[in-house]
Amino acid sequence: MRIESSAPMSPLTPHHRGRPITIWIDGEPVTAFEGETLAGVLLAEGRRALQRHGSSRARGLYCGIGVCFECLVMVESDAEEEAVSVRACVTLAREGMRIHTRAMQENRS
Amino acid sequence: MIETTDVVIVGAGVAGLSALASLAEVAPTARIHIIDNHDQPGGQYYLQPNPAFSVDGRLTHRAEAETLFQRAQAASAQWLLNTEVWAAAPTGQAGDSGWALELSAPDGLRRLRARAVILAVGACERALPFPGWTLPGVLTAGAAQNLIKSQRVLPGRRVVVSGSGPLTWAVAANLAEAGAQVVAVLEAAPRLVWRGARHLPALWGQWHRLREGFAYWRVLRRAGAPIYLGWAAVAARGETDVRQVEIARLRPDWRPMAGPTNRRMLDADTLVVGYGFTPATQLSRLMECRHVFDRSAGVWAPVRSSDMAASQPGVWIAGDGAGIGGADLARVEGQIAGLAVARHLGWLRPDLARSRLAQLQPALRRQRRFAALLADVFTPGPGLCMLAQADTILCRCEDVTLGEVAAAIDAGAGTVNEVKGLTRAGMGFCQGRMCGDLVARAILTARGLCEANDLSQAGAATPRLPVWPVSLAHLAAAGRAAPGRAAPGRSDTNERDPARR
Repeated sequence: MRIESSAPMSPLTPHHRGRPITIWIDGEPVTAFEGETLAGVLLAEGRRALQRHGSSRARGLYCGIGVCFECLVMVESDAEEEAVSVRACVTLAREGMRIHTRAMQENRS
Repeated sequence: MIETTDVVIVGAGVAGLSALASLAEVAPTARIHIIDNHDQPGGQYYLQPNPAFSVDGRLTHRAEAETLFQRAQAASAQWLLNTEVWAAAPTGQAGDSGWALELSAPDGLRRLRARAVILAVGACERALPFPGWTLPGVLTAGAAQNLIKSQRVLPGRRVVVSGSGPLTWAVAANLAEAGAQVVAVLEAAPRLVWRGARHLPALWGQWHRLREGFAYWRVLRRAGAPIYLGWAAVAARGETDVRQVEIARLRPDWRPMAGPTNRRMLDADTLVVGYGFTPATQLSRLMECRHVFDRSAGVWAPVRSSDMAASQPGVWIAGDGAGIGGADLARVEGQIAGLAVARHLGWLRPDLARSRLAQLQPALRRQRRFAALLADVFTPGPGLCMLAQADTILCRCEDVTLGEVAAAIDAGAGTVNEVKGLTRAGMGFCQGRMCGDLVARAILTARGLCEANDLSQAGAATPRLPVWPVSLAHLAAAGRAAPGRAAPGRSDTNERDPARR
């Protein structure tokens, strides 16, 4: 969940999120804020299962710095014909982005 | 597109920025390129939120970060952000120690030739497998800290933090301050006080670190978070994500103890794990720099001279990518590497270089002493590195379990490369960054060599390009732009196995 900037007694310095934007996660519209990574948005939405490998169960954000590739999600792209897989932890959410958290499994099966 | 430059710095974290500043200050006319795979400089230590997201007041370490950013910005360097170096090869001209680096950015591929390369690539967290470590809800301390610091998002509501070393405390305190319920903080290092006491001299002068540590401890006390010394999480349980975390008291050799008084099951939705770091050596290994296994720190690290030169001509390595020492050591090493490169390329007179480098030696020694303390006290012993069971996944990318790795070892595989060939462990997207050492440890365990803790006995996986995934569309476009060079990179004749050297 998102940490509220106005939470009383919070010792964290106040913060201001970017402009609200809408992205689509597995077909559902979700409000996100500019400057957030896809991993940030997904976790804020309580969606922790990001990737499904062919044989095993769901995986989630693990290293958080773009090294482990556990948080791959598919992003539909206007420019290219097929969706591309990106690391949710290092990819910024952009207005209108359409991402799929289970596309890997569907593609393989 | 091929560009040329004098110096390329790979990594714009503490070491890279420090190298850039010290180099540019003595060589204002040098052509310098600095590359980073994030959208902003700073690395993990000075991680900056995206500009769309603003934070009032000072972030942690902000003041020292500003100074370094200002010095780095004053250098007239070319900044290549959002860019990964996926291959590097010597340019191969006689009398030239230059390198050609293959870069991948969102808009395509490019090649950069440089007379000298400073690698400041940093580290990633040490993977330590246990049953349930692949469940959603298990994440590294660095991941949790990034979420809080640069996203202001909590990874969960009820969190267990288990690890060894200062980051464990920092993250636990960050989580408590951000409003998570910290169910338990587990510092795994057994006999912490006794072991730490032997290093008292190295603590002298590290007051800011001690102050920081004390502040974290106070936050945790105030939040009422139970603190367990000499305990660690040994399993995460749940069907679809983490629901429970099993913790155990550790013996002096870090092996979990059995029996009801030494085990507990905690209800939690998130497990944060942080057992230290591993230098990112994929690129330095691809460049065939010599590496050795450091048993004390439990990591592979490149061999360097006193001025940070690697064994390959034209390559200098600074910061955590050469051995884990943290930001203060990275800053000094970056300075040294910058001066050494300036001398190498003739921008700094050798006598001046010698005196400038000599001035940095005391700081270097002091920070290395502290790094040695951290390594000695907090590097997980073999007992905690063998929690995986037959059905526990070792290679996350290719879904290879310990059981499958063990079967390959039974079938005769004796090195990481041989296990890789039989099981695909290490062949996935992450290129073995996570599982390479885990496979080595499985081999040592099978051979009864685990206690020696010397992973080099199982060899290291031969690095293969691309060290980061590259888009096929980008490769195809690069091939169209330069016919006959569709797959740039090293020539086959140049290929040798660094593990055999």
